[in-house]
Amino acid sequence: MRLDTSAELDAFRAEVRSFIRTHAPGRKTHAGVRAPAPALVPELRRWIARLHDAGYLGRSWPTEYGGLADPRPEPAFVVAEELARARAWGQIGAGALAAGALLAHGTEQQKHRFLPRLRSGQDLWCQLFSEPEAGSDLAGLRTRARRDGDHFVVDGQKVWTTNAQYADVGYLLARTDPGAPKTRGITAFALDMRAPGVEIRPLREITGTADFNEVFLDGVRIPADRVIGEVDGGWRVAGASLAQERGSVAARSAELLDDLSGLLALAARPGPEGLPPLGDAAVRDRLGRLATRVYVADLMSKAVQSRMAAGTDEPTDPAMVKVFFSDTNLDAVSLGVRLQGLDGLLAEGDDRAVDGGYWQDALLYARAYTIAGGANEVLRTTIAERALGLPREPRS
Amino acid sequence: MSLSLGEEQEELRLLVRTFLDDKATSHRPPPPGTGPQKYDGGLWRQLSGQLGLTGLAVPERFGGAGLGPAELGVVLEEMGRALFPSPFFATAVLAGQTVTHCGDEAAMERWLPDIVSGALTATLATAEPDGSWAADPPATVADRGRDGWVLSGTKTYVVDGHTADLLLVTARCPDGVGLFGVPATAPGLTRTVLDALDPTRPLARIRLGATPASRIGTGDASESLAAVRDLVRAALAAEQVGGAAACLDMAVGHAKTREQFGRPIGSFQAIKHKCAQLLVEVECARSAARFAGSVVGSPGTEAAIAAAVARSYCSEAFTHAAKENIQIHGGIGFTWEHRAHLYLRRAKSSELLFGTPREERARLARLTMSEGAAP
Amino acid sequence: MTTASALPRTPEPLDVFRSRLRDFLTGHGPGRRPRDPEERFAWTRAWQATLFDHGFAGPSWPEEYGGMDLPFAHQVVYQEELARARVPGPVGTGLGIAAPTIIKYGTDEQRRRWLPSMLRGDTVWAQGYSEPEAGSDLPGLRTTARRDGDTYVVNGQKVWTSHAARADVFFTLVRTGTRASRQRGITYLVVDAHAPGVDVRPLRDLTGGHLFAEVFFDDVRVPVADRVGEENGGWPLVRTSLGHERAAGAMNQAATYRRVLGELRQLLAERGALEDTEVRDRMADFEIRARIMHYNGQRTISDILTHGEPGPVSSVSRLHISQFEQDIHEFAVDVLGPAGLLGPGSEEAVQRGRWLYGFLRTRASTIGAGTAEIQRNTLAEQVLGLPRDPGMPSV
Repeated sequence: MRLDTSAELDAFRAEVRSFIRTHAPGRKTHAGVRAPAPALVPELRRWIARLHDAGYLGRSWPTEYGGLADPRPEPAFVVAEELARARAWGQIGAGALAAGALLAHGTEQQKHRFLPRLRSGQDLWCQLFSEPEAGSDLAGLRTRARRDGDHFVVDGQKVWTTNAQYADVGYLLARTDPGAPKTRGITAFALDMRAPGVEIRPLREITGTADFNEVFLDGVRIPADRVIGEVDGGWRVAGASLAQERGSVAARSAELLDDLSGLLALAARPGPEGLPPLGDAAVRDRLGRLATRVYVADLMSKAVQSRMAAGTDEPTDPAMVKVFFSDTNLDAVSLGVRLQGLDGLLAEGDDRAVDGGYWQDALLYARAYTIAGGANEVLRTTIAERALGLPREPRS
Repeated sequence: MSLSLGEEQEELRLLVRTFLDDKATSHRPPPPGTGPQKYDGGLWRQLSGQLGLTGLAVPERFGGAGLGPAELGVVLEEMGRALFPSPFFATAVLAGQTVTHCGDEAAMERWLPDIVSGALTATLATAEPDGSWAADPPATVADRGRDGWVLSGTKTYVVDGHTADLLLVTARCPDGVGLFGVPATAPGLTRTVLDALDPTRPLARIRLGATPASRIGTGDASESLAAVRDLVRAALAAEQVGGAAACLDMAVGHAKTREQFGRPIGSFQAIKHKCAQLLVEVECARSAARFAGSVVGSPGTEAAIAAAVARSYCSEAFTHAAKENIQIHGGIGFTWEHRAHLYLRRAKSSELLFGTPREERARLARLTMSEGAAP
Repeated sequence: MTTASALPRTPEPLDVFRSRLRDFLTGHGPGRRPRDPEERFAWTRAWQATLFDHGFAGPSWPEEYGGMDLPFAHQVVYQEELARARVPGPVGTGLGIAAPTIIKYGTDEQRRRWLPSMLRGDTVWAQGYSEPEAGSDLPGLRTTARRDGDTYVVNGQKVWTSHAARADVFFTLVRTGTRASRQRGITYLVVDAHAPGVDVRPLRDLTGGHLFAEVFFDDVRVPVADRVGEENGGWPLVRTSLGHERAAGAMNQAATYRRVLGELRQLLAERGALEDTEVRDRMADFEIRARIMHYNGQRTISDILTHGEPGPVSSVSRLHISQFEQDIHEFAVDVLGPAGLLGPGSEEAVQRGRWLYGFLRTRASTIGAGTAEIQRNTLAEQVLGLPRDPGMPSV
């Protein structure tokens, strides 16, 4: 197993780190994939352009679309890790995912139209996949797209869409053939988010913030040339583009490592009678146990990265990383609340809340990681069936 | 000793369940950032004066029903299940039990009848900003001035502290820890609502600047406060059982109807086993809370042990149930509009209030692992 | 499970009963537990006979079959005192599981024929439900019984039959209906372990002991008179017997584990391990769970006294107990360090390796009598009403 220890990658990492330190706008104050404040969005568009120009995002793209045609995934991992480590913003929404779909399945015309605008931050993309009735069972989606001359007419509802309120283009999956088996009748589209019939409603989550949206599609007309890939071939398109998201594998463990230092600081903070929790053997034991899991999560992520670099990765690798990360994360942030003693009762609105209420918010948010992108229960089943070869659980 | 509900307790449970089902079903989560959930004064008068719930564990000579912690537990389990916003816990348990067990007849006569009738809401303020629930000795000091006692200091994490008419405050006196009654309107008293993780259980910070107060009882109150703390812990454990049971019910209800992959998700073993595990924990928690409710208030270490057992177990069972409930609900459980997160917030905050599970276990270890402790 | 005595009688006050029982246990204690398995078996049987001969056997049984017919509260005291005195439990699984079933569903003739000798330990009974193919899926069992005049001809195989190697009698379930009939085609039979065609092969388990065995039936002829209940009507009997197993076991197990916990605490105190706050935290957690085990037992009893049935807590206490016993043994092995890894063959072994043995033995506590997974399915479907898993057999 080779990890990113080459001199070249080390130098690249140093360069990225310094670039982020110098240029990154703001710092994320909350854990997780959260919506930026509206005032920050214009600045983030410029930042996204800058990351592309520096060759930090879209590095693997062909040169004719502005990339460096670098086939290696390692630099993308380094960038994702460094952004997460610095709690800096990166690409927001579904830009990387959409780019993956377009590069693999888009027409020349689509590539020339969308990719430059995506690089420049002019177009922000959002992902229109999940639906109220199709969560972990994505293939059960019900949003319909009917052919009408040289257009498709779309009706349905999407949910859990991050950054829909800022997005210019939506990467949409809709059902074009209800008669076909579930995964065979789905088509991918690039949807103009300002088209008539698109309605975006913010969705307030248990954290009290609105980081997601519901998107209602009512008779929305999409020109037929905005179909990505084949009609009824959307499931393959989505699968290919998901591969572009694998940078998140690297980002998650970097966040965990950062949280671990935060926990250590919390444990060293004087509690009742001036004694820090760290003086308690049981707290040290818990921290040690957690640190072990965080380091294992990091190693697991690095192992998967190196398999991805070598092209020997398994389809279940991201699922295993996600399950392990999200469970560890839940334990980490729970400990973060517990270590505060009574102060754990406060939320971020209180000026006395420890770390600005970060841990309390992170505890509530932690469920997003164990649910979104395939609930852990579903992923474990997939791992058991695909990685271990256990017999399939009956389902339609 | 019976750990099953007798006929009258079962009637009480049904009465409270019916009342809460009728009257308190429609409360949705308050918009975030708007502070704690407000309680309905009309409902409060009904459940206190009419139903007599605030007087359940108050002696009959002060107008109460003269029952005990077991019956309080029955009521709190139902309130915990409904996450019912009311000053019941603060008034009937924290303040009501403190006064009932303070040994000061004059204080009892003065306040208990109004607690029973619902005319007076009250609470107990012991925690201080240093982060300990029961500061001993308190940093808040009591001085005897020309016109009586005056208190100075800060109390925090006071349950319903911003609305209570009467605050019972612990303070350092020349003869030990003193217990004092302070009307909310007393001069020099200011109170601030805290932005609490749990909007259904309001918390406040109380500042006292040479605030006049009346002393309750004489001499060091540490011992009677310790006994009250066991009553409070048993009551809170019962409330936690109700919350955990509600989470289990919600999760099971959702698992029966939500379909993915063409089947109700409750037919998948991954979901079933989660629910079954929660059932084990909910029933064990109920046994622990019922047992605590049957022994607290009686002398001896058994009460302290049972309270520690119940609080440690029920805290963790409730938090676990609240987390799993959200997980089983999936995306919909992650929305603000869904009540699932209110249970998680309540669970986490109940876990931290009045002693964390870890502190309870440390207490239990002291009580049971010393030489000669009964097995 | 009690039958009314002819005359109502005032029960002995609990404390009087307790001290009378305690005096008996002090005066007639069975003495030191022999190390040799054969001797230990004889010792256990002898103790059971002592109990019987002094009128201290069968706390819940009708007096006419040698039992004590005690009120429930007295049964609790009985179980507590026996656990406290560390006397051996009954031989085989007859008293806990078979007897209540026979008392409830057997004929008078069967009760007279089987119960007294079972209670005195003269005959050893063993349960034979599980099968190699059926595993935890009891309704899918395959051992067949074909009616031939006044006898059934039994063919098939049972596994993991507790105490099978020493049994005189097997109480077992056989299929008398078609395979597809599942629980509607099951009959409860009592099989003589010494009958021709019965072959018992001890099975070495994880701990190296012989608690379990394979039992083969090859054209074994069983008189129809030894059938309990109706033909194809065995299933409700199983449900009853499993319910009684839990109720009878809960208090006894609680008392036993309180004692085990006390012993572990003593051991850790001697080794200075209780100074460690993490160890204290874990030990306090076990203390909590052991006490809850006790409360669960008490609640089951309260529920029986108040509502006439064991209630929801009785269905969960088994899982609670099996998780506890696995966890405490594993914790003990962890905290004892290297010495905890040694078996009884080593001089340095801690307490003759009992914690290590327990760690291995308790793996079976979530496998035997329905795996933990099956128990969870049962709870989910029968108590919580969740829909059946289409891939799993119904229970």
